[in-house]
Amino acid sequence: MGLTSWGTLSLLTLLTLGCMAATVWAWPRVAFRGIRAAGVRALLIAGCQFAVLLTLVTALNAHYLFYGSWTDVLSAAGGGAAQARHHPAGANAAAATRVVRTVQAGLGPGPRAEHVPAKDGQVERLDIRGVRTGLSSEAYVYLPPQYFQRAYAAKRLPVVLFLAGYPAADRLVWIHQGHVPEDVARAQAAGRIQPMIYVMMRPTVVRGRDTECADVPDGPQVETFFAQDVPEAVAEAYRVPRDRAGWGLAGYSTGGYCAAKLAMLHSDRFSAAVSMAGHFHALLDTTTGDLYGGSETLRRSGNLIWRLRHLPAPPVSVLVASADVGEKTYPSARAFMRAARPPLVVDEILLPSGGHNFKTFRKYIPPSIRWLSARLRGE
Amino acid sequence: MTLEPVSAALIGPVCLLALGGVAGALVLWRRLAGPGVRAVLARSGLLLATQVTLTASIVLLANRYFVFYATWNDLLGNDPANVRVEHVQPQGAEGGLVDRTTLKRDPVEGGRIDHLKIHGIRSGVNSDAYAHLPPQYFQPAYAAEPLPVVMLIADGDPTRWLRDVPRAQPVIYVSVGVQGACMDVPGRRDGLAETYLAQDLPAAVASVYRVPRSRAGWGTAGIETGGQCAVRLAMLHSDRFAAAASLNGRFATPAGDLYGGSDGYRRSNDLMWRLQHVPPPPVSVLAAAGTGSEEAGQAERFAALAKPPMRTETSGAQKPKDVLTWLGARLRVPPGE
Repeated sequence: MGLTSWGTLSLLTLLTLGCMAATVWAWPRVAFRGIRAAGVRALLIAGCQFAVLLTLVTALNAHYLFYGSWTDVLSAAGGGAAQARHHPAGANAAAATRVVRTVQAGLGPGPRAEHVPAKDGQVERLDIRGVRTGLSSEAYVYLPPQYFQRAYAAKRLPVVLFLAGYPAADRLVWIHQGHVPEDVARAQAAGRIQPMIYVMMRPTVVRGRDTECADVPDGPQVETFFAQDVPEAVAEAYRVPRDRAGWGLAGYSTGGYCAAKLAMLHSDRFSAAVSMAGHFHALLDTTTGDLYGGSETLRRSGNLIWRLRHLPAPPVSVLVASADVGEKTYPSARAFMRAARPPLVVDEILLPSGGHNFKTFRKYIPPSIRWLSARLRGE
Repeated sequence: MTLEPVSAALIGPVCLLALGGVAGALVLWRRLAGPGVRAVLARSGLLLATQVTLTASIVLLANRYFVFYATWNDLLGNDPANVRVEHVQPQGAEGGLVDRTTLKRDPVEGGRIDHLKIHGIRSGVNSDAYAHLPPQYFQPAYAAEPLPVVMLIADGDPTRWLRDVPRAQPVIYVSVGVQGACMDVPGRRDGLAETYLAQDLPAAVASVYRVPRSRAGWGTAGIETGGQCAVRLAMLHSDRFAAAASLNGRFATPAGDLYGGSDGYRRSNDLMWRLQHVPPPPVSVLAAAGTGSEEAGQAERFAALAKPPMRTETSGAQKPKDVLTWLGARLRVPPGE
């Protein structure tokens, strides 16, 4: 029975009801005096509460999809991740990142039946296997209608790489919760944005581990995957710009940190990034494990605020989307904005209040897309 | 005093209510322990009340700790977002990447040597480079064609390479001098050598010459320490370079406090270790060294460890020109660039 299945939820609900019924039934039997009996009574109430909370947490998880499976939970609780085992490639090993492209007709905006790519655009799925890192991931790509129109056959539309938060168990989080294709279609119909290609991914390419898009010493090279393998895969599958002016990033939470970091450290590949409710310092906790080879110096290199204060500022534009009240990463964002100086340019979207959840993120997404549209240039 | 979900004014009373409910249940237990439907109903009601208030308290406390929803509006409200983008700081003028001056024209063959002053905006390195443009660069037949680029990394005099370059293939050679290990040393604030070579220099060169857009037309080469640097660049930035040649280079990890005190990071920077533990990058490498020398031994070991899609060759060649000929043959400009 899966973690998010109705079966598990039903079982837990029955368990809870059973606990309560048992307490009511056992009531007279523990009604006499004495410390032991009092203890048992308290324990019964606590036991019921435990069952209630377990059911509630499981139900919330099933709704928000923090963790998609038992493995996800156990890996996260364990903190460590299985070291990626690299199998030596055979003689016919691919000379470039491998990409498999399939159409996902039902996921795009517009009516399911009579779906016409040149009118509605199209969502496709890429299965990417990085040749330099050995890491694999899916990407869901929304191609605008213009990509399929003859007038644009020789054009290279700008690309935005979307990175979700951690753990974002739902691989379609950008579509199901972010509603990106819908928002894009609406903005484009209203003439507010230029046609762009949206590559929607999750930074969780190693199961159960928040790698914060780092090249982990002696571990998964996630930064290289997103900076080198993924752009190569996207360029392999679609007509995309060759210049950094046509490449941007956007993400929420950990994905926001990833977007800003990738743009800053690979400003020869990307020219703009949006961080929605993202932090700017280098995390270290039970879900990340040791990302820095035990070195505090190395950890500082991943602290984007430290980098702005001590290293040359890279020539990129960054949009910080956050909320004054309720967004725990706002202090980190403020420190980043204070440290920013040309040629790195910072803009800000600030809501008066908003929690660290998708209800708020959905408010950041349309203006972020408009901001990117104004800055990226196709070819 | 607002009663937002995270406010003490709300959480306090709810918690007190929960505690009160539990206390009440414990105190009233015996009174409700009797038989009969009324007693059972009373017990169930009381139990339910304790569960509800306890759950509410825990949920509010957790919400306050993790800050999921700071306001009721956040949780229940549905106002259309009225967001405005604020510009935090004015856009600064982006400085030029490179100052170019022509040093010498070849009257006979038609080639040219330029002196470049590179402004490394990402790396903070401002350095000299020398570019050798072949005669073909100026010929009408190549007027719209980009030519492959080879970055030459010299230990000492960067012009040393340019005195004798192969004439057969039309290639743009850009020679730079690099001191020490060509890495971005963590924690070091002065001079990000790897960022300079992998990002700033290619961008600067692309801003003044017709160069390829894809990695297929970019290579690196170096002598001795420059050789290891060249190979390292191609291996770690195989999205930017397709081939590298090392002449008398060694492949041991540069010594010194370059790794932030991390053994794991030092290993990640050891090219021989990488060949054994990290997927091989899709690049071609030539490790040339004088026959019988220690460098030759290292080159043999290096080549033996490399696996597809990385292709490695060894050679006894000792002249820079031969090494560059090998490199030029492995670079190409795909049609349509």
